[in-house]
Amino acid sequence: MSLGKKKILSTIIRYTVLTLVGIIMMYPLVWMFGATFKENNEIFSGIGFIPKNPTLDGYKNAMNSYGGNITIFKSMFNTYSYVIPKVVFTVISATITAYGFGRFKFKGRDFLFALLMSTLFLPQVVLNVPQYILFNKFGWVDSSLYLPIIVPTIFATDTYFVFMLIQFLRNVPKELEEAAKIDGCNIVQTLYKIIVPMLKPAMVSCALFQFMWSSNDFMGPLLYVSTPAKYPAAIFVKLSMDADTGFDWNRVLATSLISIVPSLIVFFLAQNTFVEGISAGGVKG
Amino acid sequence: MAKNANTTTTVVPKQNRGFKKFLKDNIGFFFILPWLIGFIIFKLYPFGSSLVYSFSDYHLFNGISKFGIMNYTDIFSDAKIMKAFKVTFKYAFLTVPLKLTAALFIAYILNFKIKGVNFFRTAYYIPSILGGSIAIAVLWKAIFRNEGLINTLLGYFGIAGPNWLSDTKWALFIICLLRIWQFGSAMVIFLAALKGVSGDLYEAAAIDGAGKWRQFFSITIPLITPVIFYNLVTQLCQAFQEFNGPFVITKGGPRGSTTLISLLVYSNAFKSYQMGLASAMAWLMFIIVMVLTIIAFISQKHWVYYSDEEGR
Repeated sequence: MSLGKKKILSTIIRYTVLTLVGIIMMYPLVWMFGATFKENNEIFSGIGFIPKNPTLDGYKNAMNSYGGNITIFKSMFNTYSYVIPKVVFTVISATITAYGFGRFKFKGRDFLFALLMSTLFLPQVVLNVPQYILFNKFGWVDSSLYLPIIVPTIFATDTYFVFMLIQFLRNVPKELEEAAKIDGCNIVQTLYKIIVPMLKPAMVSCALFQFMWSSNDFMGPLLYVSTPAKYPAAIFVKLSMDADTGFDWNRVLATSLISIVPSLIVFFLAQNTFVEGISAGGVKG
Repeated sequence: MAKNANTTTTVVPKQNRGFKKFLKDNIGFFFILPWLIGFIIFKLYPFGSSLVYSFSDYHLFNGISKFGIMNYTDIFSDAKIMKAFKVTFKYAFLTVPLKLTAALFIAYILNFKIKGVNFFRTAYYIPSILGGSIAIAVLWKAIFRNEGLINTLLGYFGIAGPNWLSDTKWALFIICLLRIWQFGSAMVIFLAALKGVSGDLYEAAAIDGAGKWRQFFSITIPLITPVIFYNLVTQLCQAFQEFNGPFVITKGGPRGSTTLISLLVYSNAFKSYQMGLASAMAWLMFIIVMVLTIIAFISQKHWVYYSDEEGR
């Protein structure tokens, strides 16, 4: 009986901890949502999230432009005009690279694979300056097509995704490929008829992570985009906060919230893929 | 007939056939070739050239006029830069242990048969997925500003909270807190590892009279050390490169208390165009991260447990 009581008690403790932590994790976001509908003098007058006099002023003002030919929606359009190519190029180039490393033997393979792995630990901080100098020489800085942000992804430079796909490919049985070979498929046909369908879950999770990370990316556009009309949302949100004198928080928070709506939608549509993707990448086989 | 025609065209001189065989044996190389080209242009060349720049007075518009070790001597004699290194260490060694502890603790609780585990897991994971965005940095500022959410809450208890972001004692910790709050992705990785620990071991331990805490430290922790190791290395690498948080929330202030080295690299390179000096700082930073990673890898054999060569 006392054992039963102890069990109940520990269950209660567990749920209490989980709920408290859950509140700490979620309340800031819930409060943010509520605050976007509040009047400015109400936002910091209490800790509740339900607005007393709901107003759309925050959103109305968020639509305004702050110097330069840029608004929140235009900046979001800019963001996704490089995020989407990045996602597409990353998935294609990472899949091809993973196929090469995962399914073939060739001269220098082990050495090149070690190089690939070492770039996982290469801090971007050491690359920022020389890459900027390089792209500046190419004439790509502030290019209207976001070349410095997009072009490297054509060459599978985000090696984390290559690594993730290789890990996944290891657990894919080779029998089907052998059967395809007997049926006369060449290696390129094998790639898109056999490998791609089986790798699809991993490719989807690469696409989703790249989508999130590229939408959040701030350093890239900070270095390579300087024309206001081409600013992505990350820069626009930062500037609209800096432009504020400290009284217009419903507008600032509304601008911020609008900028993460696409990410939120994608996350809720695919939350299990995210969770499985990160577990698969992290637990090395 | 067609087949015949085909074979006749593939009859080629001998040394050419050897080349063809070489191509066939190394066909996989062509699949990784794009990556290799990108690696050389966008990673290896910049990496190497920045080492050269670090020994020069490279100015973005004036170019290089001399080479030498002046950047490195400048760094070691500049109190502001040395302070930034110190702050970066403080930031990393505060953020990473607290983040990983929170992640492991919550994953451990979630690993009991909890109803609604998916709901909790999602709730804890959202900050990680959104947290890198500038929107969340803005939110953090709203929460910790002087009249912000936290001080309003403390006010209910009659406590006058400090001006978190303008107080040199607190500002760095608030920046750490933003990343600790994002423990979700480390937690998801821990949770997957915990699910792999066989229940039999716990039963055996329970029969031997080991309590829950004892089981946690004697069974759970040792068995998931490979994943602790993985999380430790990736989080350390990330922490040393932190930029967005302090750049957006505190702009490195107050009085340099949140000026991480990445902020100085940025301002030296892209505000005063001293590419040489910025490269030298970045390289010192790289060496520190590399040394820490190597220490972690070497120390592995003393504390990381691999059940066999195949892993789990």
